[in-house]
Amino acid sequence: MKKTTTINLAGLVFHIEEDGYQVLRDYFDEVKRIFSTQEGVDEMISDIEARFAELFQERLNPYKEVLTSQDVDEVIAIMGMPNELDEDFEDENAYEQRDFKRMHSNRKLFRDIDDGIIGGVAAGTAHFFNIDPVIIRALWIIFVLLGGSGVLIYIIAWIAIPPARTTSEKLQMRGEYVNLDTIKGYAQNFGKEAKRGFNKASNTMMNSVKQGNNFVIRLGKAFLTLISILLLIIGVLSLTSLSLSFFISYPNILFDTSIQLNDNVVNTNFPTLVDVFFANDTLALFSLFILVLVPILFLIILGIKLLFSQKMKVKTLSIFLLVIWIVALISMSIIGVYTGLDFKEKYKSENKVTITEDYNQISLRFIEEDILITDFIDSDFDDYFAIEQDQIKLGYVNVQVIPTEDSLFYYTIERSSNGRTLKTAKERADRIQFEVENQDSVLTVPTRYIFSKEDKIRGQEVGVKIYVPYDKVIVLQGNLEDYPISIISSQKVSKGRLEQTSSWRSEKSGMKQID
Amino acid sequence: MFLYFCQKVVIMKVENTQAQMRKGILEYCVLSILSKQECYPSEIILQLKAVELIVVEGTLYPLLSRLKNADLLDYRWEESNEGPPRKYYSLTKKGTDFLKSLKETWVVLKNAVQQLENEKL
Repeated sequence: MKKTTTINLAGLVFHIEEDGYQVLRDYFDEVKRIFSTQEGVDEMISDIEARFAELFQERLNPYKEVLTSQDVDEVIAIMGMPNELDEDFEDENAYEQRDFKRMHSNRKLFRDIDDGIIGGVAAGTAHFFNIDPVIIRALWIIFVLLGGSGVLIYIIAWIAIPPARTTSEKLQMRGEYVNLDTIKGYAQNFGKEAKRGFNKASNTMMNSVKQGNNFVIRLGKAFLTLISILLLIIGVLSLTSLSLSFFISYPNILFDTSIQLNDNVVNTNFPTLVDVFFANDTLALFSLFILVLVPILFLIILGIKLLFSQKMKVKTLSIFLLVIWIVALISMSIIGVYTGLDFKEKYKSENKVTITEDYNQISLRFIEEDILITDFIDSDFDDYFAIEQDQIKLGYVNVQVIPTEDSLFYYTIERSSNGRTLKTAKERADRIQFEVENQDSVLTVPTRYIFSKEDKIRGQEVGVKIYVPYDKVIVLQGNLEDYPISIISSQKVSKGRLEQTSSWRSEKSGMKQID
Repeated sequence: MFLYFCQKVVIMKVENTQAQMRKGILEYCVLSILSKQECYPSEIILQLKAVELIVVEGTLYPLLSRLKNADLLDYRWEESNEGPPRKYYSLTKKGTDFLKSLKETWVVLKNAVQQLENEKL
């Protein structure tokens, strides 16, 4: 049982099934569109209508009063598809005309405005190559990410490729060969889709009443889709990197979450960093995780919502996420304050060592991880920070060269640290492992100092002061141009002078370079 | 994929030429049919189909429209017992002259083709 409708064709009345009517109406719309530039198109169409009427009449008899969609298909097959009527079309596409058996030769590039997300370019292209639209879309996104050329290409394609409006165009787009069965199948499908789409359409009707706004609306939608896809990509990438930095611990060959700190690579992962700094490390880690995770989740949810369904209910989820985010924020603030208290007191211990032998000249050399700093080592000596197993290694040790009226060389080692109380600060300072090696007239200073991970980073610092008696000489070995070394002198010491091993003589007014 | 496109291009060229040939001749034949007697479109279609000059009927209508716009054809309405009123097309004076010059060209072309083909044999 099918619903019929009544049409007037060349002054005759026909009862026709509704799906058949749909196909017929599309057909004439398309003819009108193709020949719209030609003079006397209305007259031509009424001629064609008259022929349709004749051919329809042949298919009716006293026992068959209604035209079926099959009748319509048959007559259209006789008359030819709208674009076949065009003489010029025949030139360019003649190969398509008879070659019905060749499925793909019928295929034309159209935009699929029914299945498309933005303008149907990807869906249409996919139909043309007979592949899944997802592949084309993925390629497009890659193009967009690689410098945004995809956006431009898309807009050009959007303008250049015609949309598949009529049934015949839609079939050609899909490369189905235009015969009774395919049109029928398509028409039935279309009918179902049309019913479903009707409710949606009536909602948006108000917006699209103004034809001029139509393009603007679609363009706006396109941007919205683009933005939502970008949101999704950013969200997923952030989520991945977040998970990696939190859950993959060093050493891991695949995902080395090395952190670049100044010029020195710190081979560690995020939880360890949190661990060596914050007071309550587990809670801090968890809170930080939530603090970062929630905004990322919001990005993803927003992207999905924009892309797939405007009506998606995310209110409850959003409120839940917001609440746990605020909780994490409060917990993080408390931990922050608590950690800050560890910096309340500062303690500095000083340890003096005198070189008992009366040398006229001593050498000062620096050793970094068992490697001697020579003239040929060009290091930046930027702040160094590394976590090795249970130890934290920091650099660089500050060095001062100071003239003294004493008769013997001596040096002091200063270890300082912060703590909640002076006592804890002192204990921390004492636990810093750092020793200057003194062999004969040579002082060897390690550039880095070590302390336990359990001590956490609480402003631990080490300084070495070397006192040079008047008229005696100290040789600074190696390229120390960028090393944090200060030489007490009457003139300003230009760092360039430390590029090579240099000798300095102690005088009352300050150190003086002698070569 | 590439082969498929190559194939397509080759097919297109042959069919393209065929369509070009048919296009000019179709116009001549329609005028020729109408010079003998006035016809309504369905009759023209019947005759053209009998000699396999058209594939789909619809092709005729844009052609008729074009010829009429060029004042080569005119028409009159006639009631029909079997169906809708019919539009009988006939040649105008201008159309007759047009056909005459087309016929001259056609004879030249036909002879040219025949001569060339016979020479080959």
